[in-house]
Amino acid sequence: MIEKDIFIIGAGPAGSTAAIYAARAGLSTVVNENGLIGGQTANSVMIENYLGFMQISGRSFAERIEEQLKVSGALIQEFNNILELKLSDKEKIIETTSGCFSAKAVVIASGSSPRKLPVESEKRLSGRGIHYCSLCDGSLYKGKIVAVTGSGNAALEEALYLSEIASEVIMLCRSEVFHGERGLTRRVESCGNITLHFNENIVAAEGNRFLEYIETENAHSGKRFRYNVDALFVCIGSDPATEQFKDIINLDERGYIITDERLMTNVKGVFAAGDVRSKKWRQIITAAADGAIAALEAETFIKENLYA
Amino acid sequence: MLKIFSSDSCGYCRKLKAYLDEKRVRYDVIDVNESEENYRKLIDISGQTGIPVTVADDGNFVIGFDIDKINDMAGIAN
Repeated sequence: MIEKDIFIIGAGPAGSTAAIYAARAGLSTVVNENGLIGGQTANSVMIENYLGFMQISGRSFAERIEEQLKVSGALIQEFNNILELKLSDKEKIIETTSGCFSAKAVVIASGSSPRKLPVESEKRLSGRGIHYCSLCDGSLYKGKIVAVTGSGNAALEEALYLSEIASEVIMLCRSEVFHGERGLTRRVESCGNITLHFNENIVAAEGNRFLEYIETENAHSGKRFRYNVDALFVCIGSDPATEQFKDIINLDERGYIITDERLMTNVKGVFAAGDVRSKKWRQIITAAADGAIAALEAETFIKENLYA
Repeated sequence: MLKIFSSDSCGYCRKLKAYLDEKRVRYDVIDVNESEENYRKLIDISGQTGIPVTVADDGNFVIGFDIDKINDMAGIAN
């Protein structure tokens, strides 16, 4: 058993900030990430709303996070899975692929994962035309016709990125308007090879071995439309990565972790930060702020318990 | 030698290559953006379009950076 002061689950903006704050506070810190350092930001096309950066690619942003994490002194475990968790007021035991840890405090910053397209064929066609990351898979569709579904910043960014690769980008929004930033919206609206379709909900995605077409239904008229596409990029939000905690930590009705003002969960010494936490706004900067608060509160918690 | 179907913009591809470099495992890179032929090869072998895909000499392949499967395929001790 490896003993640490603080164990941080997730190395996205929230978990990485928590790790940097904790390590700088002199706590022995381990940060565990089951995917890429930077979390979902690593796959972001462009970040334009983070303080200090006019414009930075998700890749560069994640590389900077990694660089800063490395010099912080925190033990970084990337591509490392959590196998079992025992979290109680008295003890916190975390078994991972690389070893078993005990910690005085835990910060859950496991983030969220892209919401799957709710059609029957999703599993069969995922990676075969249905994709969730244009940076990862967009380049495969050079000169082809692709669709993007979603209405927020992520969808707008993906559409703009794909418009430089594909011959045509069909943007399908379930809502009446975009919900992203005005500047991004304008760029999409004025892009020559992006066509916009509002109030259209995808009801089917079909193809033999690969995606061949999608069908939508208009929210008002009920009329169905068919689009022949080579790929569909899905950006319809995300779901919290809380499956491993659901029997231990109190979650809200949507599966997000409930915390108090200190970002502490129902288990003493277990904090939550970032997209995984029940809250209104989920932005990179709010995730980073959560991470700082959680680490500072965890430090206070450890000290309080040390001298109790 | 292992073959890795990848692209420059793919974060998981970069991590996979860095991991194999660290473990001193040799591999060839096939850039799926370089040609339609490479892209078709990826589909023929793996039956899908996601990357990275790592292919062994015996034809077995791993989709994504699944560290346990890559370790098995490359004979990397845990």
